Amino acid sequence: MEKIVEMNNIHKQFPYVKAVDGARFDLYKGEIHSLIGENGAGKSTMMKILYGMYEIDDGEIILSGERVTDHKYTTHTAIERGVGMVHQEFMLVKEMTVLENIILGSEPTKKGSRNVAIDFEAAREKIKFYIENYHMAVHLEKKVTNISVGEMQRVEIIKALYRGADILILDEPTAVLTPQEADQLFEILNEMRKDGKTIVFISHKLKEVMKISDRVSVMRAGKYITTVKQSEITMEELAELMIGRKVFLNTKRTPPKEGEVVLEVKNIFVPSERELSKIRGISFNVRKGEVVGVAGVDGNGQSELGEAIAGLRRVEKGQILLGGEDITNKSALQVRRNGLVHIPEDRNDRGLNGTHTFADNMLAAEIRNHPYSRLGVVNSKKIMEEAWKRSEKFDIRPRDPSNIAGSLSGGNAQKIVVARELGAAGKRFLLAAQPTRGIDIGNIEGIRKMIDQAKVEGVAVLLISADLDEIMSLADRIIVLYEGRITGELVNEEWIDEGKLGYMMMGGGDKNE
Amino acid sequence: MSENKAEKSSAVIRIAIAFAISAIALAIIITLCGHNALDAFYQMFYGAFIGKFNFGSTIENFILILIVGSAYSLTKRINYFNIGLEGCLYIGAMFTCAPGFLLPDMPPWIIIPLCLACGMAAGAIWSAIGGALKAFFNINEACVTIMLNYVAISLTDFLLNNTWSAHSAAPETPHVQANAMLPKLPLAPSRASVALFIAIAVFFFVWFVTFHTTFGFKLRHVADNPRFCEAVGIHSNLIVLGTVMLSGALGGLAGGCQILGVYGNFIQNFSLNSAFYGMLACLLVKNNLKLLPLSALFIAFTRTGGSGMEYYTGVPKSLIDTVVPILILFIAMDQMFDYKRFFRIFKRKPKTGSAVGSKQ
Repeated sequence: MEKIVEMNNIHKQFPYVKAVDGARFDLYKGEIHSLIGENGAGKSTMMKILYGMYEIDDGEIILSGERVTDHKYTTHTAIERGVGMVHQEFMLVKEMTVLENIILGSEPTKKGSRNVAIDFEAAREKIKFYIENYHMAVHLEKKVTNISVGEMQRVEIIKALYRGADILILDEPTAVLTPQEADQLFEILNEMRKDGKTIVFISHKLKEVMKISDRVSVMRAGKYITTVKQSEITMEELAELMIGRKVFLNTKRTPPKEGEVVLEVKNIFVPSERELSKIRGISFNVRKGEVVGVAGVDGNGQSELGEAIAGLRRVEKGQILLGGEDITNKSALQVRRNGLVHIPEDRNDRGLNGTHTFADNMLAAEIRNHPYSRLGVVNSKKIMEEAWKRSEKFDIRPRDPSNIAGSLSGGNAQKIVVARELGAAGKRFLLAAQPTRGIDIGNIEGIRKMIDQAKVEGVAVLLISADLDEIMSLADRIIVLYEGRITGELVNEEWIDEGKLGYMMMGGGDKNE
Repeated sequence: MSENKAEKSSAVIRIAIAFAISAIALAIIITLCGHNALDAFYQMFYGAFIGKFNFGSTIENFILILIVGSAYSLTKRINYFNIGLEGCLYIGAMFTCAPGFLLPDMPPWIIIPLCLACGMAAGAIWSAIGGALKAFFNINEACVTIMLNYVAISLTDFLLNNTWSAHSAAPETPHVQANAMLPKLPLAPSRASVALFIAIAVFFFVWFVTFHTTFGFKLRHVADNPRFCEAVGIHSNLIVLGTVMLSGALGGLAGGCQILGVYGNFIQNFSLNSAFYGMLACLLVKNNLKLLPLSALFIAFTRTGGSGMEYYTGVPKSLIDTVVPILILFIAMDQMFDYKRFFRIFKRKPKTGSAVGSKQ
């Protein structure tokens, strides 16, 4: 087979980290090549270099036998040479239609109009070919705001193909998809492979990697580890290569000890930023010593549910009881006084104050309490003592709590949030929203253990997560949210049907079966 | 040393470099204008520090600048652009003055605190307008407070021309009772008073509140991430309002000290934007409280020293007014003086050229 991409000895230094340290990568024509590694391993950087977004400090890129790094290599040249990339964050203009988004920047123009009038018909014709050939259902006339995440991704893929991509780089494409949508994507990718396209699949979900790839390259801490054929390796071996040690991702779940009801949600309606009643009549309860998982595709009301319980969002109607007391539309402070601890879904937004020290962040919620303050005067010594203790207990690196939180990697930053919430005294109910989103596998394992530990200590836990694996490994009961309603509830037993769960996540209730 | 301390000390060094460079720039400007820069600097120093009157005048300026600077520091920390301190100063001065001439004679230990408390309360209430609009309706504070300054000045104008007029030739209020005046420092004939100790107390109070109280803890968080505060149970809008009111109270105190320490009565337009020098003092050191007294002293020095320089060397006083803007300019681009990066250029490591082989 023909080698069409070769990247040798690539070095890339960012202000504080060496993102890529002497790594290599190659691609054969017509293969699906997965690039795996933990967060911060340098896989996205490596591919952004191939796409011409970052200049390299040292090394060479060879495309179809020609050393392109001899001259200035930019995104422009990369696209010209048939490299296309679908980024993790979609780069679409929300207020424009799908068609306009696809042709934006390389619009076909009508003959004789001196490149002024856009020839939409020609564009549509060209795009139709991709839609039919790869069975990618997109609505060309819809505005991007009105289409689903899965569809946005297909739009991004078509966008790359439209620009003549033969090599398609997909950066964590399945992170935002349901299992069904992911399967659809894989079908599309398989067909593209048959057509002779070459695909780079960046991921850290090993199941998917095993399912789709021909070859797998592993990176760890900016360094290239190895490249293996899919047929010659198992998932466990891959995980070990990726982390550098053995991991047990499926945290051993402690069986629940069911106690009294701690949280009771009664038929609540909650608005979102844009629409009234994003959540339309949800009721459930969480008992002491159990984890209830809320599954669902992102954007089906999970954020609103979490914020409503935490006192951060107004409830239109319905009632929320925490420990028997009515906390509906009470302030966050009052809800916390009733025993809530809350890991917010976005640590950079609500979770952490990046400009302050670890210690400040860890004790922000308890600063009013003795011994951290007395009559409004802060006791800095006690705060530092406690912060050191929590730093040790929750294994935060670096240990010294006088460091600034904004300097931390995702995993350690999240552990500070966890240290604040789970370290708090008098907690009765933990609301964990996306507790391990966007962090590396080693720390995911750690945080999941901490949540399980909290459950053992008798805390009621509501786990809202878009990561099904997480829900399945931690939750004792699972409720599925779809468009602001509960479409199903399952007890997480030995064996659970992922297909059924996925079906519920798409709105099919278990009752209609 | 932790990363964060190293960061702070390098910030101090950067400010120092900016000071040095602007001094050089001022020297160049003076030379270009055909004067002897060294002589001008000497006279400036002399005019600000040597002799009772000169030193006393510097202290007089320093008092006002330090109080307003401390007050501004509070709101700066929550990113509230409090231009309204000038207004608070006027309102505070007027309401410090009023009990002084309205009430019957009382012993100093009653009348002085009473007057100052009235002024502070008035300042706090006045600034609460802008603070509440910001905290509850998220209305831009800069517009509101600038406009309120004019309202405040006009309001005091109205009061001293009508209700509380002294009925003299000049637009002013009656003098406060003699007992209400703060004792002068032994720096006669200058007007410096024991308000100096009030200013120092205010500075330490602001320091204590900011770094050693739960209120300060919350206010430091509010600026950087209000959504975080909401989530951990800090009522950020109340904190904003509280901080702005506290700042306004201190602004009122600054006005009160001017009345009881310097003038003795409220004279129309007595302040002439003096509150802005306090804000500058805070901005010059990027709200680093440790450096605030130094920066306040520096601005007081340029104010009084400038007059001395003009008197003895003929260098126009307006030239000294260029130094503060130059300084602010340099401090705004302090990343230029990142001395560490400067040294790093020389220490750049040679590239490593080892190739990494494929295992396939």
